[in-house]
Amino acid sequence: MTRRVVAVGLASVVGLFCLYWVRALWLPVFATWLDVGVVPPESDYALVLNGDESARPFAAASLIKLGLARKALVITSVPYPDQIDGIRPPTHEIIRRVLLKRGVPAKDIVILDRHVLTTFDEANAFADFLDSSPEVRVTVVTGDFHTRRARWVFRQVLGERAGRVFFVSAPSEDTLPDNWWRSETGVTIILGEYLRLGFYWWKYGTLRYWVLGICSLSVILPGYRWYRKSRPATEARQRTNSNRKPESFNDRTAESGSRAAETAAPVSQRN
Amino acid sequence: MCCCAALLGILGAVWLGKGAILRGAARLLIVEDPLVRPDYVWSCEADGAYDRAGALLRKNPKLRILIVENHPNRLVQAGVLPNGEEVARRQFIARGVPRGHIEIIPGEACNNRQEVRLMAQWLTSHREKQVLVLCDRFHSRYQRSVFDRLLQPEEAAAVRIQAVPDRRFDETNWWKSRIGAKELFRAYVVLALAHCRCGDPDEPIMWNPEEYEQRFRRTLGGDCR
Repeated sequence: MTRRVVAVGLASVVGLFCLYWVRALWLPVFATWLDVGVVPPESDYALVLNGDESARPFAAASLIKLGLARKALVITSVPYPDQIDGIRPPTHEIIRRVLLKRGVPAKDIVILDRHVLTTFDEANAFADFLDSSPEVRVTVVTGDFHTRRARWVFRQVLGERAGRVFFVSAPSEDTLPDNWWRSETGVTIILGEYLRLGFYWWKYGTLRYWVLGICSLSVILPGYRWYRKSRPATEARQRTNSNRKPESFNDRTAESGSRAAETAAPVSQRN
Repeated sequence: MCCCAALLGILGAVWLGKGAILRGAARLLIVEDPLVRPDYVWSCEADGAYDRAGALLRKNPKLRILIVENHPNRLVQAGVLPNGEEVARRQFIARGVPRGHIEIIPGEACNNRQEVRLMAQWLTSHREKQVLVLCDRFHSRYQRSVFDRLLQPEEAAAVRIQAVPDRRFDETNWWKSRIGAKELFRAYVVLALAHCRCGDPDEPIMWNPEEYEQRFRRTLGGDCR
């Protein structure tokens, strides 16, 4: 038993060491899995999601320049403290300025005044836009590591209408998929993205039902096993009790009488 | 049965003391160095740091402001936004700081560590000066650890940290807002990584929009403009 434990422990240590040694082979998978961007077909709008303004609007402008989208769609967001203080322009304004700088005409920039905070809010604002223009095809431009979560959220909100929405990755300037684990920013982004995926799946998806189901099963199954294990013993005890002959009143009186006589007899007699 | 009762007891205790536990989790991230009369103030991306620096200057008119030069990102290069030093200078002047009281540390810092390294160089020629760093409240322990790691002990001792609270949340209510929870998570991750001596790349990662377009052109062939 002890030898087995030592062997398993050693094998685990060696395995972990090997995994660490070849980490450059498998850690990039965590980053590339998050990127579900495609080369989009021609669409009517390029929707630029808020955040990462030094990448996303540049990518959207490229799509418009290439004729892959006709107009740009921007949703206003809740301002950050420095934007409230006027230190930095609002996010939608930065996006608009980039698009203009990159040659997108002002008439082709549509701004939806919705003051969104999260990707889910953006999807809801976009759903309302789709209600008013149901036939349009839209390319959503967002950061490469954000595409999977964005696609999931848009599918949740739009349902069947999500078939007319495509996702394009704007390369991140914060980290690279090949070596994200080597930088603070990279780890924060990738880890944060997985946690947010989990949070969204919990809040807006089916994760909480899965967790509830697994928790219930983990209580019910051991309980049932314990019940099955303890049942034969109970049944055997019951069977023994039922097989024993019911004692008659006379037997019990005779027994108690003989026990009384034994007690009453002198010590010499008993010996 | 006993295990279940113990578990329920623990859960009950955690529930009753959740406020204290959550506050404690945030307080672990906060460092407040004892206050001294600083010679310089460096504002390091904290909410309301410009206002605080202005208020400090009104109390101590000899105080000077330090600004560390940053590498211009694509938005600055494209002329969409002014560079960080220009923005900071304007904000300080708007708060009554005389132009002569603003000192720029030259360089092209891409991240916080590089800013600290530039400051270390500056400190070697400004010995005996006390610098007060105004930084985000939840990132103050991280900032302290970066200074302690990258600066010589006597230089690190000359740098004092003041943790500036964010107007949206602090250690007493961070769990009530999504942004507060996000910031707490981020602060713990960067602090853990700082202890693992993990940094950010020294060279900025920048992609070229023209190359990005070319990539699409190659994929689509003649189907695009």
